[in-house]
Amino acid sequence: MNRLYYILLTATILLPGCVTQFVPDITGEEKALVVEARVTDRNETYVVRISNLQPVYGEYPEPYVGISSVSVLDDAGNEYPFTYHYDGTFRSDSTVFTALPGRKYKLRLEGTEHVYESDFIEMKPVPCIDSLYAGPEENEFYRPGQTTWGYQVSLDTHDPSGECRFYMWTYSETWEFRYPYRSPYMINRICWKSARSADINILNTTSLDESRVIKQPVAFITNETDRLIVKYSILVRQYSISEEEFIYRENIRKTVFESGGLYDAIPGSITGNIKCIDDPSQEVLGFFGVSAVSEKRLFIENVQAQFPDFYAYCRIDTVTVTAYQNGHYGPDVYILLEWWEPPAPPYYILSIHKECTDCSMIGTAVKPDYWDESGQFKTVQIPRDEEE
Amino acid sequence: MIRRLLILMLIMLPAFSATGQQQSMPVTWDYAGTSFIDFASHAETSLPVRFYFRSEWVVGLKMPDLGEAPQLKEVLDAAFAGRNIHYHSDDRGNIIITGEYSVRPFGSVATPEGRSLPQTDYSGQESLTVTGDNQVYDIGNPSEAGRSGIITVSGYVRDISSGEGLPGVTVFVSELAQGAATDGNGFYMVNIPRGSYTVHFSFLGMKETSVSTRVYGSGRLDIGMAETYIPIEGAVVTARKNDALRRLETGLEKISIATLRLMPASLGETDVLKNILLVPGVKTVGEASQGFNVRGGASDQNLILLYGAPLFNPSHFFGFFTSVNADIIEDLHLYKGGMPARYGGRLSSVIDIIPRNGSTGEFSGKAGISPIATHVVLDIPVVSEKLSALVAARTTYSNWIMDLVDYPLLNKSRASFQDINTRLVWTPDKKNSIELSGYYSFDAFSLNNDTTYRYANTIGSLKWNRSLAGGAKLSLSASASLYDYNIGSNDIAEKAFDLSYGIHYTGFRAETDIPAGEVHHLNGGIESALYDVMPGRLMPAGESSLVSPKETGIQRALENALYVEDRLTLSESLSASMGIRYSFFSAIGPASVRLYEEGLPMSNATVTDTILYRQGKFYRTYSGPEVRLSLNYMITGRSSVKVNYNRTRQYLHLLSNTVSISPTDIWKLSDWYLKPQVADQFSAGYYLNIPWNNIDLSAEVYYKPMRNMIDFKGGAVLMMNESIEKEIISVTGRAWGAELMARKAAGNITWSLGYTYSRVMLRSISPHESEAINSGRWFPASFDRPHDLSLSFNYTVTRRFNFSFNYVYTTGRPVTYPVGTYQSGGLWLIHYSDRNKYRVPDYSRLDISARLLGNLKSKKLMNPAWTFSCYNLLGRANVYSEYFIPDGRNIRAYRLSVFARAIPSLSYSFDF
Repeated sequence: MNRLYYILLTATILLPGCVTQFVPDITGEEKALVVEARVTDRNETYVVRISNLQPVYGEYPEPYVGISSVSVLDDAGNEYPFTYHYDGTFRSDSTVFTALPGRKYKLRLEGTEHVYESDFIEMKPVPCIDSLYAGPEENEFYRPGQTTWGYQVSLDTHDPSGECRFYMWTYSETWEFRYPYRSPYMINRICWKSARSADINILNTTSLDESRVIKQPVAFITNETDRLIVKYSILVRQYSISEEEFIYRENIRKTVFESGGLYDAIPGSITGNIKCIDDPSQEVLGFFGVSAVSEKRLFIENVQAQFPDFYAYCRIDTVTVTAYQNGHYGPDVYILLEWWEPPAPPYYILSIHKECTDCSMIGTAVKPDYWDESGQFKTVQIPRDEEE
Repeated sequence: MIRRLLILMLIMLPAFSATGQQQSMPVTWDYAGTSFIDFASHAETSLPVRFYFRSEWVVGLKMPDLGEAPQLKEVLDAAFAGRNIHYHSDDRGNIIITGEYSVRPFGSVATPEGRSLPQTDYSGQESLTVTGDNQVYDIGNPSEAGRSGIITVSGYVRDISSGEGLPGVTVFVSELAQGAATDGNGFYMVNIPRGSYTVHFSFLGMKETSVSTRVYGSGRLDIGMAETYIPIEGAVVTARKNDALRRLETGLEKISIATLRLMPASLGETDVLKNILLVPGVKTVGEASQGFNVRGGASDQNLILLYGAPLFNPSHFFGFFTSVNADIIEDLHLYKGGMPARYGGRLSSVIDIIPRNGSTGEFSGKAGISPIATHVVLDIPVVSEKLSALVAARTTYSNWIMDLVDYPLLNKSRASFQDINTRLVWTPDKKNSIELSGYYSFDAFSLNNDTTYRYANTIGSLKWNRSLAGGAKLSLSASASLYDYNIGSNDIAEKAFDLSYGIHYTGFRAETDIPAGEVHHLNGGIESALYDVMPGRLMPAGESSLVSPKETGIQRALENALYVEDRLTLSESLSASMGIRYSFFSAIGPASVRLYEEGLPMSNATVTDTILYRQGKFYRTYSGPEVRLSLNYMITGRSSVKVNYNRTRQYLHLLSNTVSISPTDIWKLSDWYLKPQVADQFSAGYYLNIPWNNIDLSAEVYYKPMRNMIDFKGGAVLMMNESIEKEIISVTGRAWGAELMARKAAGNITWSLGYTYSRVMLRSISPHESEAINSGRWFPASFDRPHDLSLSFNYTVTRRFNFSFNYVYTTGRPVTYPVGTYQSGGLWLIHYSDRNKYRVPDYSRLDISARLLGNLKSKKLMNPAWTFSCYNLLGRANVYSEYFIPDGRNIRAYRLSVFARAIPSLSYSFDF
């Protein structure tokens, strides 16, 4: 139903509207505690991240947030303390505490001045992802009216029990990339880059007879990135979330990512389920989520599309070896390739970017352990993209 | 065929000399036995004369044979002899032919041949149509002169060219400072003591007509008024705009369609509602957004009446156009200050769209084409002088434009709108008239072949007007207005759905208007409205859809009101109006009302009980008086002071949590939790007419506290929400402002300049701090735009060519800026607070428009008109909104403009 937003965009394109960027003059700042935490049914370390609201412009304020103890309580009266970690987070001990579906949990933070608590939230079970698949698609990824080709990753799932009605998905993606040149001067040529989802992907099935999710878009991978050149893998996490969290995330999505249109809501403060119990005027941002999780991984390789030359920027100059050795180019250049076709003198192809000789500067040279285990997961070989 | 001209305006001018001073004008051609029309056209080519006449006066008239080369005057005298046809010729060669009565220019002596005005029938039964001249008309039997007592003068005011009655004409007896207005049929009535008076008839878009009378007894005075848009060469017409000075209410604007047509139109469509944004005190959140705000009121606080029924969604194309066709409108009354007791149900304003009646005289029509739509209107006199029909239709063809645009999303999208109006007026006799009106508007919008939006307004209305003895009037009307929308999606078969909403109004009104003596004029009535709201029905679409059908219960309510108002003429200079309206509202079962734990915010967790009310149970009733008072004191004949107080109550609320209202917002009735909105408005005004150039000045101030308005908790889902009370935050508001206006309404050059300073501040009222917006502090409403300047200018260069422009400047609207960013779930998010603390840049826009009429010859089938207009001529990218998108740790700030450049358009229309 948020299509009205697109109607606005349509209308503004039909009519000669425009969008320009500007620098706002924002004065004043506000203090608020930010708490982000989730417990799952996985046997993993849960992380409670505590920070301060940052001003729009200016320096990061002190990381001190005045929280001294963090714990999660369940409805059976157990308390699981979290321990302070050097990076400002509090972490659980996975050998002691693993949350269970059907149980209720709440978060408690104690600080020097205030005590903060969430409500009890019940963990709903989550079904497995039935299928995760990808297909070539033309999509308006960057902005309306500008379509681009790529692969749409989607999933289907359903919960026969009907218990899980509110879903959230996140993903992490990893892809292999190789420089299109080989030379002994290079330190690392094959690497893996990773990224995480950067959107809020939630859905509720309350309006449906059964809790079934069909063709839910997860990620769109355009040919304009280097993700699909060699091999690509996406790990999708499916969470069951509470109704309160669904409403909260939906509000965040609308307010933060969908503002500005004719039919968009006036943005306002959105607070989660964590409250300061001794002073209600203290604003607490963030949410304590309780979710069961299921995962599925998808590989995409052998994509036969045409890609831009992502590494054109690496080759800045072609110089004779002699000139290089005479130091004409200074120390801050890197040899990518040596090239000699007698009787011409030998040449170096140079770069000023170190990462062009060492891909571990922008990725990792360590192959992920699952990278060749594609037999364990379904390997999807996408047919040649007919368009490009 | 009519010689379109204002004969009668000519007549009233002393500039024209008496008859009989013609130069020699021999008729040299073979004229004998030709029709008068041929004779006249021949004479116009051969002699320096022009004829003005109505063809029906000369039907069958053959020119007599007076031998070789007689003088024109002889031929005319002979031709008209024995017929009730008279003529008058001036020294400029204009020969004006009149049927029924003769023309007697100022200062002349009645011709002895008996061609002067027929003797007035003193019985008072026979009427004479007067169009204003410097002659004194006798009304009633002169033998009664010298008697005392109040008598009644009544009659019809008609458009001289079409013969249609003109509703809403101000009739004003200047000596008594007493006035009246014509009813829907153009009928007026004034109760005055015997004496000599000058009676002024004025109406926007028509030339003011003044008639000197000697009133001996009750009698009839019918008036023919002429349109202004063809001024007479050389004539200086001094129109007197007494209207603003004399009427009681502050803050009443009358806008005639003739004025609207001259104003610049966006995309070539004359827009009846967009132009009211030029009126001081009327604002909007942004251009091309549906809805407007009157004196600090929310956009759901405006009652738009079409055929007496509320029009729920007056917009086409998501607010870019008004869904009421300009062709069907006579004029528009906007009540923003003093509200007569007969109107109620909304807090801030009433826009009464006065429909035009079809012509009872001749068949005529008009069609036009603009870049967006095409429209046609037909005036069909079904039974001459008895039954008229008006049919108007409009449709868009923007779909092909969408196909032309090289943009895939648009190619697959569809947008269309239509509207149809029909109106039948049956006048079986002079005492009765029956009006049957119908309206339908439809919009469909689909995007990318995916989700389809449809919405439609339907209005039907039947009204019976009856004149009673003593000048009293009675009218009974019944009407219905339906607004329905539907959202359908079949993108994914399993998720395909069909969601519909509807609000249905059925209303009845009985009203009477009684002139009671010299001092009192009573108006009273009862009004009853039944509302049925279908708040939402979700249905699966197609076999494979998994969507489960869901229906929220129908809400029903009855709103009744009783009102009476006395318009008092206390003295020559003091008049007042005292009105009271008592409204009752009952929410009717079946209903289930959730009760919540006291002292805690309402949520699913705090529900303690649910009460079920059976069908037909009046489970919650609200009622209250609405006092309407106004006082007008004429300081001099050219200045007056008015004060006004009124209270308004509103039982119907538009649930909208967006900046601009959208067609899919829902109307909700007051219920257990949702209290009626209440506003008080105190206003005062000073009005001054400057004789030099006839400029009207006015200054009005107002203060308006409002309560029980609604806002929503962040991100509330309003559609299909069974317990909306959980989401509602009650808001009180206060608005105040000063509106200054200078206007020159007559002459070749007309203009108006308005400046408004106004504020509207809101504050959320919640016992729970967590729910309060801005922690319960006052914050400006989204339409709070303190400074507002508007200038509109029109220059009638020639009778065929007209040029106008509008300029608007307002303060930018308030927006909310981020106060910080934070990281959550791996994303950087923006935190907003301090609602509406900042403002977008100021708004400034210039529109121009030029209209060229076809030639003014009478012998042609069509009267074409070309209108060129340019919206936002300066091409200024006025900022509609400012918004923020996180980009990692940084925030990117954007400005959105809806119309970022000049939009020229050309439209063509023709009368036939």
